[in-house]
Amino acid sequence: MNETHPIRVLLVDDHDMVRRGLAVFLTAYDDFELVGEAAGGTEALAKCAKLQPDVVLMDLMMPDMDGVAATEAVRRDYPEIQVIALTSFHEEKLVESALKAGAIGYLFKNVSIDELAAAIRAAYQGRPTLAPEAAQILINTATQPPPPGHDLTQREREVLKLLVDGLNNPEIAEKLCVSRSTVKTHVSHILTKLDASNRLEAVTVALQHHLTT
Amino acid sequence: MQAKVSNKKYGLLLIAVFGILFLLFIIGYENYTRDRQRRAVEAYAQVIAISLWHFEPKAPTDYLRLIVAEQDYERLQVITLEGSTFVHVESPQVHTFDRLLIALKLIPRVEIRADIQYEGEVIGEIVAIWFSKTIYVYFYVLVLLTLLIGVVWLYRHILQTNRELEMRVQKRTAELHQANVELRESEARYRSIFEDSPICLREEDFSAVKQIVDDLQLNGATDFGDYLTRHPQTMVNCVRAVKVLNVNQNTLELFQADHKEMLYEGLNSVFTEESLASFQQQLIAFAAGKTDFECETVQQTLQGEKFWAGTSVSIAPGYEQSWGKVIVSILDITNRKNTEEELNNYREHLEELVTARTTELLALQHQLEQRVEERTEELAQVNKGLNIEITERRRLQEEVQRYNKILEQRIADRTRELSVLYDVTAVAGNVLDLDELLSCTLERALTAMRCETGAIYLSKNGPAALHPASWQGILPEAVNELNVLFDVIGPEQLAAKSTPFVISNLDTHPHLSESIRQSGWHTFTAVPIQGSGGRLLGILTILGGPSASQSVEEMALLASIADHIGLAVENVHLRRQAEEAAVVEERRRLARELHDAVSQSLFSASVIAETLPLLWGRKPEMVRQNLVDLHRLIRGALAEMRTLLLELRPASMAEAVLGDLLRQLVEGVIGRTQLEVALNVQGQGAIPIRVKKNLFRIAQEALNNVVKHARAQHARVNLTQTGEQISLCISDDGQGFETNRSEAGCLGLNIMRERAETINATLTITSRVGQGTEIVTLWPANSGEQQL
Repeated sequence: MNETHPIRVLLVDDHDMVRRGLAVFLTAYDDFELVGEAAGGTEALAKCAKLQPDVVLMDLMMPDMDGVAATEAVRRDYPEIQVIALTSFHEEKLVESALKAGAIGYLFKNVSIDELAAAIRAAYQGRPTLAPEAAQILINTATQPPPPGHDLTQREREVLKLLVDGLNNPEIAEKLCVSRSTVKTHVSHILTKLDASNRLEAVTVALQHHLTT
Repeated sequence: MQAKVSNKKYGLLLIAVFGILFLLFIIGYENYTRDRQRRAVEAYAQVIAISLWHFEPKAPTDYLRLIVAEQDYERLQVITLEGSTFVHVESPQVHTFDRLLIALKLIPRVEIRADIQYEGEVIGEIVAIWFSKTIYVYFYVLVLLTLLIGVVWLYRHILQTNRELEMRVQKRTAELHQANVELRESEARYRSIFEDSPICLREEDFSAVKQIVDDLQLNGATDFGDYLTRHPQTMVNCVRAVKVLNVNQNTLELFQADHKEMLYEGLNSVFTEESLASFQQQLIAFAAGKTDFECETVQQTLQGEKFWAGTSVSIAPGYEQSWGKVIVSILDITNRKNTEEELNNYREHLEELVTARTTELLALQHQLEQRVEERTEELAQVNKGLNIEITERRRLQEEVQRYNKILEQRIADRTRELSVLYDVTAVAGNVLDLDELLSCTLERALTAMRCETGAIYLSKNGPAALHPASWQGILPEAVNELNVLFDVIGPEQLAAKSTPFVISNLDTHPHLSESIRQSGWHTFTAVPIQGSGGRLLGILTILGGPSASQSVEEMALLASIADHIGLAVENVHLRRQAEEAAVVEERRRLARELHDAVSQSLFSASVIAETLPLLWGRKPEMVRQNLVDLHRLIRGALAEMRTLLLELRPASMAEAVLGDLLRQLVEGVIGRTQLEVALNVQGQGAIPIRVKKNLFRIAQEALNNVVKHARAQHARVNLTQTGEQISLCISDDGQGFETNRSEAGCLGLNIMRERAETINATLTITSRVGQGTEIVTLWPANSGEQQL
């Protein structure tokens, strides 16, 4: 670490105490400099524009513009700023979408300070860091069979959503302005594709795998 | 004529009324004008009042001089220039003008229009017109006009009357003329009728006959008829005295005469003896004062042919005294006479016939009487048959009535069944607890079936594992023992059948123990309780005595009740599922809050704790502060954790003291934010759980608002508890808000208000932009919440 100037870090988290703790952590290292804090995505973008940090530590779940959207915006507008996602959520989709949005690191809020420091330095040099759990999730996603319903058409998804809402065939037909027999065909396709024996099972599968959201 | 008279009167009356009205008006108006003038004059100047009205007409200048004192001006002149009259006053005093104006207005019989000038400037206009003069003229003109109109109207009226009279005279003349013409026409018509009449007409003069008759009567012949019979010569004289004036054509033909003279000459020869006799009768009648006479006699023509003549003789009106004109009409009635004779003959013949026919009819009548007797007998027979028929009808009617009664009974039964079903449905809708539901519905089913004993068995896993869930009027052991009967029936069979299954030999059933057989039950009715898709949920059983009814209707009712119980049970299951789902949702919420609050705090604490050793060597001065922070974070996390535990175990809320709960809350807030919150608790005592819970929630919501929206540095929570009331005050030094703005409702304030209302507390929010917010909740201890 022979840089002449320390790595400039921006903290983005909607929780005060998290920012406070991370601020203490940053002061303990000479090669890091805390340039600013933001409590939401919008504020983060403003701070990026003003402070031009090297690395952003980004919480993902925030009330005002979530972390994924903020990451995407930061990477689009300031490609030289690296973003590390720091979250307590273990959801597959979140890992995937954060990385797709351009985050170079994905860490959970159980990370040790050494790992965190290493991740900031790596990010500054353009190297990615993934928490082992995040890596595991990515591997699982890649090797898992496609989730049920991946091959549903747009129309079938619409019908499925109305099924989840508790509508019957005539009501669905009315809502989508199609004939009842068309709805019947859609429903039978849905049952086949979701490997469900009846409508209730189809709805259950849909809810379990978030097919309608 | 009547209308004309009244019109005339009306016109005169109108004129009189007009005249009187005008007179009254003129007198009234004059009085009025005079009064007004007098008042005006008196008001302005007494001198003018006395002088003006009574003075003879004078030149305007004289009047003006009378009014205006001489010392008030140097020169006063009335000048007439080009038809306009000016009053010229030199060097007038100011009040001179007032007087001049009054004077000019009051000068009688003079019209003045003038500008009043002062030093060449127009300072007023005088319009002094003697209005009443003009009005007099109008009045006279109006009166004259009215009179003129009246005269014209009268003249016109007279002309009209003249014309009408003339017309009436002309009309009468025309009418007279017409009457003359008609009279002449009538005369001519009479002549022609006389001549052309189909009847024989003769005009005769009986004056000479009258003379003879009068003479005879003067000579004392009282019985005229008798005298004539005894003196035929007089009779002949009388015949000769008749003078024929005229005969018509028909008469000539009847008497076979070629012309009138021929008939006049031979008239005496046409008399037969009969006709002479009738002439005698005629004379007697006329002498007795009659004017008409009719008779039928045999007469003969000039050629001597005899014929029957109907003769009618009458004295023409106006000749009653002189018998100067007598009309004789003769009808040849020979044919009629002949016909009469024939008719007589024919009548005799008819009478003979009638006699014969009467005999026949009598015979026929006898036959008819016989027939009537026969028919009466027949009718009596028929009547007997009808009586039998009526009896039959009555019997049928009774049958119908009986059937009606049965139908009514059935309707009553149906109504009862429906009400039972309604009851069951109502229970199913209202009762949440499964056991309660089953016992309620079982009770109703038993009431409906008029039985006292029954049980509901439920199955968890299909038909195999039935277990008693609710029972009535029976011991649990017996209920368990009755399970045996399901094996006898076979639950699958029950489920498949879906109608009641009845075992009616309970008292001798081989599978049952002695104690049940001796219990007095005879019938065991089992009805499957089915859920959606025919799934067997359980079985409803009814135990009845030997007299228990097994009618089709009751079985159907039982099946319906079972269906409703099935629906209700499914409802309860669904509700239970929904409740479980709610529990799962609650757990998720807690997890989210744990993440939001506690896990973030702990992560922060762990980062700080890990960093401390590093700082120890490098920046020891920061270590102490960070240790304080660390402590605060962990305390905060702990407090949040406890608060969350309250959510998990609501009972712990009941045990805790409100002060402690608020302390946890405040520590939690301090732990996770930069906000400095001071807590001040004063007084203590028991608080109803509901009040405690709601006050705690209000504090929680208020602090959340401070953290989220207020941007405050400091906040304060004060809890003051006295015997009378509890006061909870949460205040901050943040940005505040307009309490009357719509956004005020968005900050969860409504929820707080609702919470305060539920415990009858008052919630006051005081806030202004830039001056912080204060939320005070006051709960009066005597509000009746103590009992809660």
